[in-house]
Amino acid sequence: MKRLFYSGEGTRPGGQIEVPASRRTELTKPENYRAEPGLAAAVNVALLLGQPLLLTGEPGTGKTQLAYSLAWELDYGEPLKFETKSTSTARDLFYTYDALGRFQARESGASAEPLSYINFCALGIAIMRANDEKAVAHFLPTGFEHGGQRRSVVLIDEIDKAPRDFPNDILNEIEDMYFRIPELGNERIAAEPGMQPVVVITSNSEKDLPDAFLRRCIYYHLSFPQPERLKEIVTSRLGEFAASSSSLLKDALDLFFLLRRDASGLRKKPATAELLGWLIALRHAENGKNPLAGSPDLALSTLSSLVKTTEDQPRAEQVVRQWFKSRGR
Amino acid sequence: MVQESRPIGFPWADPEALLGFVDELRRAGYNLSLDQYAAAQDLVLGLTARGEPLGPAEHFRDLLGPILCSSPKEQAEFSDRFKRWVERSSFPAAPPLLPGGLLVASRESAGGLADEIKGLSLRRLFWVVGIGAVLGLIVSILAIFVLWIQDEPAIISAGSGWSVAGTAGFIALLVAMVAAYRRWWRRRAELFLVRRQVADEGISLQPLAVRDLSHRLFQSVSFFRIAQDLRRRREIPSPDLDITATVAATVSRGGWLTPIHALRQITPEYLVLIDRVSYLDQQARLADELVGRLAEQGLFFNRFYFQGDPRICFPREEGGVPVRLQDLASRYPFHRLILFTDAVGLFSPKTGELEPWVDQFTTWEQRSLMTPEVPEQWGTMEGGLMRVFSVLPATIEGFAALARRTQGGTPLPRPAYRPISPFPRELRDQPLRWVDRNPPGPAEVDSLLSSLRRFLGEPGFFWLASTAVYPALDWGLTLYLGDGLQIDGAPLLDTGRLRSLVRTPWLRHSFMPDWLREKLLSTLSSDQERSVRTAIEELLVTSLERPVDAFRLEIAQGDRQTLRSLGRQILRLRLREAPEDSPLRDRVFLSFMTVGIQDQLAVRLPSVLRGLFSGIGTLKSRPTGATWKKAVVEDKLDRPGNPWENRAQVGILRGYLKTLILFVVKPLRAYKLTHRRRDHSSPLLFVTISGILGFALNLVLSQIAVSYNILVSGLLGALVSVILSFFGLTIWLIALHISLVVTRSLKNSVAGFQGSLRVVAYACVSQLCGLMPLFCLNSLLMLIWLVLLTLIGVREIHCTSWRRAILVVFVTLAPIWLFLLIISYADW
Repeated sequence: MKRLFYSGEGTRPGGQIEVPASRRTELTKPENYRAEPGLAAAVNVALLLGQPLLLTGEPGTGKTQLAYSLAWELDYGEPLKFETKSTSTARDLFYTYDALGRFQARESGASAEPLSYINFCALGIAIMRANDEKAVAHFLPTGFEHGGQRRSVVLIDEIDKAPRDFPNDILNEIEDMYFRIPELGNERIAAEPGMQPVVVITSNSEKDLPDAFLRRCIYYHLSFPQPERLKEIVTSRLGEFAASSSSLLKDALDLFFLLRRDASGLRKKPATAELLGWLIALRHAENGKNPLAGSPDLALSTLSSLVKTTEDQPRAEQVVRQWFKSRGR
Repeated sequence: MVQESRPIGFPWADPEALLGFVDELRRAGYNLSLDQYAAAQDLVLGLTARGEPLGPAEHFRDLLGPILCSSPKEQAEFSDRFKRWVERSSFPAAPPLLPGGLLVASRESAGGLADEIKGLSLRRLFWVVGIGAVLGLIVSILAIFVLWIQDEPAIISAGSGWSVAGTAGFIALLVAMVAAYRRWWRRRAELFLVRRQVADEGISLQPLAVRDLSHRLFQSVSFFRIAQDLRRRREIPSPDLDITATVAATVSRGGWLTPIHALRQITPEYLVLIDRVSYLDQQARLADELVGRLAEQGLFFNRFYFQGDPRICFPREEGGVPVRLQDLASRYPFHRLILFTDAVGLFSPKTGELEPWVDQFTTWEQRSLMTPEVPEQWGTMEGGLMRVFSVLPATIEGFAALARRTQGGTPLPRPAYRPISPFPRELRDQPLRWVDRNPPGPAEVDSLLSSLRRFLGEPGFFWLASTAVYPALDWGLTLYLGDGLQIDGAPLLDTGRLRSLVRTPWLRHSFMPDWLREKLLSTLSSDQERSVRTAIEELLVTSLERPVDAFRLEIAQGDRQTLRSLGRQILRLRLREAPEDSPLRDRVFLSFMTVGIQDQLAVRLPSVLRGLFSGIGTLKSRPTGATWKKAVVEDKLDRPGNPWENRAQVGILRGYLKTLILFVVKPLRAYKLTHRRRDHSSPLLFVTISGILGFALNLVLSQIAVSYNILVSGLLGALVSVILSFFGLTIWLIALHISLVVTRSLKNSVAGFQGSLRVVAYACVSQLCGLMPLFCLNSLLMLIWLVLLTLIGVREIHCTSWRRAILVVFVTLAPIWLFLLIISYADW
């Protein structure tokens, strides 16, 4: 097989090997994101009614990307992302407070001003930015870049990872867009009504969310796209890169959906993100030609970008070999 | 005003109509509160205020859906619901629901159907009175006509043509009235269905739409208390410092910083793994309901299902990706684990020890196993399980014990259960054997039924038998029957009884073989039969309506007969549309619903195979072993008997009348039910009673008629036929049986001479012709009827083909015809 970049055999072809710039950044460009009509309608309703948008769907269907696309279209800058953890509490969404650091500072005689130990998080930053800088200046720690009053998009990613209390605990705060900092006198800090952040929440549905929380959100479930729709997404994300080889795209989608079928026996089915990564890998491997038109070697060697669990690898390889066999390749 | 400038023309532009739709969704189980009602209206106002169009429908649907849906399932079906609502809204007749909420709307709806049923009931009464009046009029005219003839004897000779014409007219009128009556009911049923489909989202009867009665379960006060205990928050270490404690600790250690982390309270979460042998496993469903009711009380559950082996679990969502046990352990490490299973899959079938992989469960700190077995029956299996789990019964009491345990580890008090009979060993050891289509031996079946009766108790056994009517075992239907049927005035539905019932393999595998269904149905008394039939007929009608409890009771008490008439017609109409594999076409179900007595187990064979079975004698080659085996299997299951043969259960009078009607109305089915062997006294007794009754009736009628001196010829014919029935029976029987032997038609028969006796005996109902004022026609009709009944009887009792049956009857009649011809020729 032709050497790609690295052989692992302790040999050098001579001279510096040219490695192409990563194309993965292409995938995350918000302008390349294409929302399905139902999703676009849901976003519009959320914006119209001023309610948070809750997106569910299997991983890789573009839930997170929607927030970036929305922020880009609204020209609100980069979305402020909160990555939910199994230990997250409601306070973490707004700010964190380093009590231990302050304790130690006090002991060592350094400044023990509470404000210095406050670190604002996604929604906290968004609320601060939703106010005039002067109005909230006394809450801003040193180094906090306010950047002027503006609206933001806040992404609360994978909320289902958080403990059960988390969604319930943030209900009122998200609805009224306010929070309090007990360490700074417990004063209520609320976003100006016209400047309230747009909140996008994603969930992989690993846990059922409380009914009360669901009722406060505009809900949309992103189902996995059909082949035609997926083709559009790929073309949009990869642009000319994909369009230049329509036969590759057709073959890749064919194989991709074969792997996603229940009959393939894969425990973790590949999603859109994996498909895009795989397509990039394939295109790099063979310049100009359709790498799936020949032998299965290249498809098998790049399969790890599509199927990412050890358990699924042998099954996926079998599916790929059968696919090539059925095509007489 | 925004509202004044609102564009009109779309149903959703009308706030009341839109709220009605939201109401509808709420009733359908959507998670909706006042927020959604307000948001839906805000959407319309917001769009209008921005000058955005409210249409077309698809556009508004896409905007409204995200407000009202909160799950993928709801989102998937929303489009359809919205479309139906829009279509329905275009009907001006459809009354808008009051914005008063669910209760008002439901009552109105229920009241509408109740009124409609009452209306039908009244119309039915008028109809019956009308028919009676017409009949009375005809009789009066006949009487006047007779009197007139008596006064004018000269006309008698000329009026013989009138007699024939009158008879024919009388028959035609009767037939027309019966047809009109049936047609009227069919029309009512058609209209009823059309209206329900328009007004009620086209709820289908295939399968039967049953309202959810699950809320009737687990309603005790203690249940809410248990939920409260299980919901109680627990403390876990927090990353935050406990300032006071830290300061105190630091001071006590001479200023050396000693951080003490605070505790924080979290709501406990539960990971529930439910053993589900089939998708419709009702034991799993019961566990699901229990968990669901607790979830409604604010408990947090993550539910997964497994089939015997919990190492691979399946999520609740259809088509969800299976998850390994170790993945669940990493995903939900701090959850309290609850396993609902009979634990058979946790033990090695070879060693009888717990499987080594069961240790994976020790990842969870708190783990419980809820078993369907009651503590009185716990043995070594539960003992083994206790090494890994807290073993608890899968009951409310079990959850109470779990709640106590989570409140500080107090020892589990042994709940005071009443001792019950053990779960039948046959079912425990070989559950799949009893769901097999091939029946075990009769002795084993009888033994199983006895064990079941002991285990379930009389009410539980009745409940199980009632589930055998409908071919599909369904959770909703089980609850419906349990709620609707009573024993000693108390409904069968009881959580404890239900728990025992759903343990049976049929309700777990959601399949009951026909041999068991028939056997169970044969155990029903006539009263029980009637109540089951009524409950299902009622369901046929009321399942088209929105489920409202009060409504059902009202109908059941007030208009049962109307409901039954309507239910039968609805069943017929549905049958016409039902596909071949529809449960409504199930033979046992149809037989039960239309006759009231279970049909025999008979596989509908393709015509080629039917020929092979029925016409074995005509085959040149010997039938294969398989065909014989099949015939033997079929034969082993003798038929359940017609009502007369079951008179011990049905009652003598009712059994006699039912049999009489059955042979008149549905002779084919009647012969199919009739025993082929044993109990030969029944047909003899039947024909004797028929003969005596027929003779007596004829005598009475003759005495009445003799004064008018007109019906004599007809009555004499009848009298002769009745008398002949005694003498003729023997001749007819011998001739028929000789014909069967001569034509070699007894090869498939297991009934022999007894069978021929039954054929002839029950064919005597043809003598009913003698009781009708049919003048010269009754003898001819009687003969035709007799021949037809004999034909059917020979085919069904002796298992022959139609061709062979015709041949047998022809051979029987030929000598008689020949004899008559000779006599006629001699006279001539």
